[in-house]
Amino acid sequence: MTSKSPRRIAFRSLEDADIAELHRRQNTDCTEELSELLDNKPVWTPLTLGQVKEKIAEEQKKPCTAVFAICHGEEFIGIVEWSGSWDTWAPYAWFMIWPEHRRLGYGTQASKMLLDRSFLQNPGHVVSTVATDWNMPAIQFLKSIGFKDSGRMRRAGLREGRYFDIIFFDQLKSEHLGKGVRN
Amino acid sequence: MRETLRGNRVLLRPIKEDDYEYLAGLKNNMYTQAWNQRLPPNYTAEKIKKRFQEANDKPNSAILAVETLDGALIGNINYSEGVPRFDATLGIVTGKEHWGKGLAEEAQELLLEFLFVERGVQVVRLWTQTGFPWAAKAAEKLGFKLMIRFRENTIIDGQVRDSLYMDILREEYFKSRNLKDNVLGP
Repeated sequence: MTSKSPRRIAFRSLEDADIAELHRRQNTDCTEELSELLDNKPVWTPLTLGQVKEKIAEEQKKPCTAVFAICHGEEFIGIVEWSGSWDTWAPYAWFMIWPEHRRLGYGTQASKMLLDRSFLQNPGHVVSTVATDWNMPAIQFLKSIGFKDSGRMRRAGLREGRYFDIIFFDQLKSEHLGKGVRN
Repeated sequence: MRETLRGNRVLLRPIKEDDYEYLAGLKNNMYTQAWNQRLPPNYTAEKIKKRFQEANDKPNSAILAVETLDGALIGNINYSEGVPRFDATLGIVTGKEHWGKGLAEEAQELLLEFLFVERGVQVVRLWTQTGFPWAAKAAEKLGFKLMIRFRENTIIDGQVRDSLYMDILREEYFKSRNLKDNVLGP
């Protein structure tokens, strides 16, 4: 019987070639998602390569914050931001996997790695994350890996002429460690 | 049209040089820090002046002094627009000696009027935490709704507490005050 488990992913630093790929994605199929990560407003506007580098540098300057790559072998398949800049007790993590690599188990791996690091290599007590209310796959994914719906920020923005909300999720250390699965 | 942010009992005005000592004192008091995690109580007049001036230099945001009509400084109130003319976050801190008198409520009412009626925002947000239950009750009295509970997100007075996010939409503001909204939103 063939194993259907995905190959292991790894986190590594973002290098120049990755940033070029981020720029390409922000200008094509991942504009809104990457704009949220890079705090680019309005989210529909494309960024230059220089602007992408600058925005990543701004994020990296925040205390206890890192933006890094998700890799599968040598392939750059996604990006993560982890931040304890507000409070290391309650860090925030956000990641995205490029569209062609989704539904292959990489998101589940990445989230487990991030949660482990948040609680076992950082004095975290609760981790939070978000999804927009129109992003049903993200909402279903977060619930499937144990995040609980904390509520919503109404009128977080406009999309196609309508307001959208941002839904917040969290997971306590006790809930994550109680699952009995670690990476 | 309200000409200045002046109500029946308080007014909101620019911060003056001799306000900073009192405002630094509020930042050093565990009851009035008005932040969802403890800040080190090392604020001086100089330090808070620098912070407030930096904040006031940002566009579409302000920190204002709250003063009674007979000239007593009671605290400060602030707002910051996220997307200009779309959303704003509001915060207020007043000295404990002024609590329970309706002064903070009127100050917030003046700022809400400015944000919805003059700036035209669609939503106003605020953050508080369950360690001070009176803060969320005061916000509910103004029409804010509890929308997010961040579980066990902070530590206050030796207890793990939840942080709370509350908001009020434009139409909720106008309806609750029996006001007509002449500005069509997006």
